[in-house]
Amino acid sequence: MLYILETALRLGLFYAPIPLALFLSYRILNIADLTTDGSFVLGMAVSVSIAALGHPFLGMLLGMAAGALAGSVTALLQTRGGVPSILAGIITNTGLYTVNLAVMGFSSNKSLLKQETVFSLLKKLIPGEHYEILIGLFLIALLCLFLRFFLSTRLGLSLRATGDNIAMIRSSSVDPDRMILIGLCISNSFTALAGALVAQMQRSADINAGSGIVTVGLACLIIGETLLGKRSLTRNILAAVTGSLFYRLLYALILKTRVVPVECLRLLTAVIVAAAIVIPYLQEQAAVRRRREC
Amino acid sequence: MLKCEGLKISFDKGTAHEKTVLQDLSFELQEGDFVTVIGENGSGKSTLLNCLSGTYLTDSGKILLDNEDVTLLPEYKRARKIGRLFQDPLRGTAPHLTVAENLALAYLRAAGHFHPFSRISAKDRQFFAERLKALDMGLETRLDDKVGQLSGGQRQAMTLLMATLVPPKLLLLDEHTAALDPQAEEKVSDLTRKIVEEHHITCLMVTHDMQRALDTGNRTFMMAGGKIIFELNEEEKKTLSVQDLLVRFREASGRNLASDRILLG
Ligand SMILES: Nc1ncnc2c1ncn2[C@@H]1O[C@H](COP(=O)(O)OP(=O)(O)O)[C@@H](O)[C@H]1O
Ligand SMILES: [Mg+2]
Repeated sequence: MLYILETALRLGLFYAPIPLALFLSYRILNIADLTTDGSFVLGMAVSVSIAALGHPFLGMLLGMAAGALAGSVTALLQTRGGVPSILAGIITNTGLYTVNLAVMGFSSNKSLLKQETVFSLLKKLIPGEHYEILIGLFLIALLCLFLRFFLSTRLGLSLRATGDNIAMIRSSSVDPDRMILIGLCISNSFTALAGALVAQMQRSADINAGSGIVTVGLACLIIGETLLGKRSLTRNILAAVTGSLFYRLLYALILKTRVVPVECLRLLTAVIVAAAIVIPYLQEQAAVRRRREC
Repeated sequence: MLKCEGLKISFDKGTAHEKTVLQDLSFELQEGDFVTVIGENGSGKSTLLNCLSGTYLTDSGKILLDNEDVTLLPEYKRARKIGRLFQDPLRGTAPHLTVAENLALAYLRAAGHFHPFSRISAKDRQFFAERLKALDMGLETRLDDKVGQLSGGQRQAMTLLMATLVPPKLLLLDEHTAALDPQAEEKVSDLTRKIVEEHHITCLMVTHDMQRALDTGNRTFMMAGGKIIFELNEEEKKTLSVQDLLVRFREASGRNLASDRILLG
């Protein structure tokens, strides 16, 4: 049981940058960013490939940078190329498949054998067996603090207003295209960071590891918001992390108890996300109908 | 100050519905001019304001603002010099941000000397509170409330403050009091007059209230069919009545003013 909790905590932390990224793109900018799946694998591929050359930390950083680059492609397609935002993400994601293969030397997976990873290096500095969890906690705390600080700066305010009322942001002399570019770069670098972490932890990258990650990330976000509410920025940010932890716990318990066959988990995730968006909408519709009737 | 030459714009070009909305529209504003704009529904008043703000780019013609050719400048760049209010009080503010955060964004228009990573300081908040107090709507105590919680009148007053926090070169008002209840309408109209006069802002105000159009500002444009068909100067505004306006309209256009949505006062 303790082992299950530990695994859930570790995975929950390593995957937490994804719901944080989606909080930024989906909740704040109001863009469903389908680059996410590809960015995750890109982070994995870059981090493992660079670690294989003996530079695990550089692999993390370059992984994030590559994610930001992918985000900028989606943003530019959308703002400069007139591609609808969902399609822009799909196009980038499709292209990334080849890019990711190329990064891994045109093979569908790449493993680290005896090379060092950030974990094997930091293990020497951090006493105890929970060094992975400590590293995860530290990184996520850092991301949360950054996000909280960033969103209350003038640049962050402009970003939030872009998703809230784009006409207003134009008349405040802010270029909304630039805000979308900045937002998607940050969010995709977060997603890539998750990929980079997970890959070095499991010492391998796989071309298909990203499939459906965006829906899982949204499920985490929605679960977290349900648990914590979304009354303030701080709460919103903590909700994304909490959701990620809770989701992985649920996942681990299902894996262990097999109340639901593991093969059905994706379907369950999809249902959670769909329901969380559909139910409030139907409630609103029902309220309107009731008003019409009386 | 503002010079428009031969503005022309049409919509749905190349289709059977092609419609020329502004045709060969020219006028000039002096520094400090406060112009009220009236005209029937569909005469092109909102379109004119959209062209000036850069929401639409004109098909031909030239717009000079403050000696700068802004004809092809994108909207967000013009916004540094142009403030704007719409009829819908929801359009000018971001509902999920607080009053202080909205004002901080409006303050960005003074841009240039703001560091992108700077945050709202205690001094900013004090400045915002002072300016809100001048609105006399009790908003100075609600700096940390979400704007979505305010009434339409309060939101419109806030938008007005936001548009003029850094006085713009040109203020565009498009029936900005028309959606408010009579009390709020009165209040926001008074505030508008007060703020525009205090800062000598050059202003174009569209209204459907003919009496208010005569009472406010120093010039009045009457629009019909995408043109300014006549203009009143300060003297004429003082002496003419709404009835006289109707007569002038008939003389200029050869028909009666369709008055379904226009308040004859
Ligand atoms: N984006 C647009 N596309 C097509 N037609 C438009 C558009 N904007 C305005 N129009 C048309 O231009 C005409 C003038 O509209 P508008 O400027 O809103 O008039 P007003 O504000 O004087 O009532 C109307 O016939 C309207 O249908
Ligand atoms: Mg109009």
